[in-house]
Amino acid sequence: MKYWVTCAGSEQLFDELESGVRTNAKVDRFGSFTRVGLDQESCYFGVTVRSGSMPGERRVLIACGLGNIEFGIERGVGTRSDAQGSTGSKILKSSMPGRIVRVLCKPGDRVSAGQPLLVLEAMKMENEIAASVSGLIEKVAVTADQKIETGEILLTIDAGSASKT
Amino acid sequence: MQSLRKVLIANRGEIAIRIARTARKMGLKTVAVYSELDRRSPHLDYCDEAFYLGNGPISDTYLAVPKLIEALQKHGAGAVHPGYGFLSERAHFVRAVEAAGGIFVGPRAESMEAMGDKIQAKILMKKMGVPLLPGTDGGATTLSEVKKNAARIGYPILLKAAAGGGGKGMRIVRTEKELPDALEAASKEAQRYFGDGTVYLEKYLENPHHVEVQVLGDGRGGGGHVFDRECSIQRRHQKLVEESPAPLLSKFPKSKNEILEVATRVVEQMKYANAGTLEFLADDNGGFYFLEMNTRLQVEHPVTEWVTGLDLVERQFRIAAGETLAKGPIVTGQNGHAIEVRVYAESPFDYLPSGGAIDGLVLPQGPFVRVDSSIYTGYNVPTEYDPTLMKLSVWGSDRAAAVAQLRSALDELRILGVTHNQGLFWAICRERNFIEGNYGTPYLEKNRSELLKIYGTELERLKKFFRPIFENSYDGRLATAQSNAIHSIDSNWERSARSESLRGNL
Repeated sequence: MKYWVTCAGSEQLFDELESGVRTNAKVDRFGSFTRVGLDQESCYFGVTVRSGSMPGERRVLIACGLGNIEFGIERGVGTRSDAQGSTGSKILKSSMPGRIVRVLCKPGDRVSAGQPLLVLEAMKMENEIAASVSGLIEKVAVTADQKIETGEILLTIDAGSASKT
Repeated sequence: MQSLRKVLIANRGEIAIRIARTARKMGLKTVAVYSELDRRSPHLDYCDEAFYLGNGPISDTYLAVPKLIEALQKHGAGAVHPGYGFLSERAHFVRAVEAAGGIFVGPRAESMEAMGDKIQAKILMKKMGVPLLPGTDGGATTLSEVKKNAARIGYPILLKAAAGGGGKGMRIVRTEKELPDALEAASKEAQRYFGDGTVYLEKYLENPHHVEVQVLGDGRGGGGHVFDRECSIQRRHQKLVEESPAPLLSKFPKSKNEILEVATRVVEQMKYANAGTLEFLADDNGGFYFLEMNTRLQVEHPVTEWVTGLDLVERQFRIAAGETLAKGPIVTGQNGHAIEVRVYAESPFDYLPSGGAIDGLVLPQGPFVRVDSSIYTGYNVPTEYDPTLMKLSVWGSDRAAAVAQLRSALDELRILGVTHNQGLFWAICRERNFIEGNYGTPYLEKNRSELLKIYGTELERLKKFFRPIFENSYDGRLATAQSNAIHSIDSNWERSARSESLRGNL
């Protein structure tokens, strides 16, 4: 029995698979598709590789019966810097594409966790976006009626300022 | 079918393709319409000619009546099929098409008007002897009026937009204390989406079932029901899974006979023309109450086609060309069982919309499997339109066989790249209550933890399998980096479990 992994658009991954980095996989390339056979059961998967949001980061998406599942893979160790945490500054990013309906806060506002900050319309539904931490609004990066994409920065909250009142 | 020689399809996506297929089969020429965003959409490939609607929001493209009439005249089309959504239920569009000398493949403008106003529709249905949920006959706007009516009906109640649909302007109210806020929110939403803040009240059923009856009429009193469907599995009041026959009605044969008779009576008394659907809420004991009538072809029509052998779009064209129908049911029975799932570009458990490129696609094939899709490898899913990637429907000789067929088809399907909800259906067709046909509209909330468990177990299995393959990726030479290499194979499942606990926060 074999597992078949069908890869599309991920040249670097193909090269590594073909050069025998993985000894547990057998690779055949058919045009733009690569099939990887592994010992075990018989199945096939679609695989694609995309750049992650951090330098050097790659995301491997695998299409299976569950939909797309994701591996995050980094080049080297410790290159991932987390914008949240150390500085006390919390970046709020959009988790969906859509349109900003209303902005309910402005820089300098003191907000508490759970307080609505923005109203985002996506797929004809209004979604209230609330503060995940208490703090001071540092910057609002969007305005009403603006179209936004997934991962776009909406605003930043200085969480460290919450206790300084 | 001389007058229908060429048909303008005033829609996009999978439904435009589905209509074009039947038109081609019948020897009719087709004209597609498309916006700037849809330049590369596959519905253009399935039509003989195409008309450009320009760049801009849907109000300037797919909803722009003058442009569609221009397309009709420029291409010499004799008829318009509106599909579903967009202008499919707009009386003014029907009149514009007819004024331009075209045939509208759908109900009369008057039927749309009669059913479009939800309050008027109920008054009309009551006259025809169709059972209604206890509620207000008319719209209510003031708080005291709503309060009085709610007390008479008894909590819980449902507030609904009079001019609305699709779950907009809807609120469940369980106590009088919640009423003022809920009324304000529902009314505001109704104003925003439909330009009319009027709301009405209904008794709210705790475990309702959404059942519906397909009808076809010839406009002269002929025609009748085309059997039932159940669409109880919904998120945000929008359907995800549909079946025919309805599992609930199969448990109550007397109710089933009654609901089908009621639908046939409505076709006869309204002298209803073309395809339509009567939607009902039903309770656990088979009691059913009229919800609304959709004066168009439904998204979920394939399940009816599977069990009746009818091509409903072909029937629509034939009726539009003047075909008469015998009074009564169109077919004598349902053969076997069909289930459809709507694969949307959204996350499986928290329904966050998504968009982006399709990097790879493997469609399920073989017996008793049907795919209505409008995507291909390399297609970029726009976020401006309906999130449907495909409708996957299957047939079995009985319900158990249909569920097994669905499991098999979902195991074959691969959509690579964009986030979508296949995994939800993968879990649903392995969940006991669904397998037993024992579910109502609260199904997804009630069975959420069980569905996440089924999904999570499969994810664990895949994780174990994939880890050795990808552990060495990109850093095959950096053996020390291995332990840090894999961060987030858990992403979908654990993220959704996390977001459940953080609901409302980002």
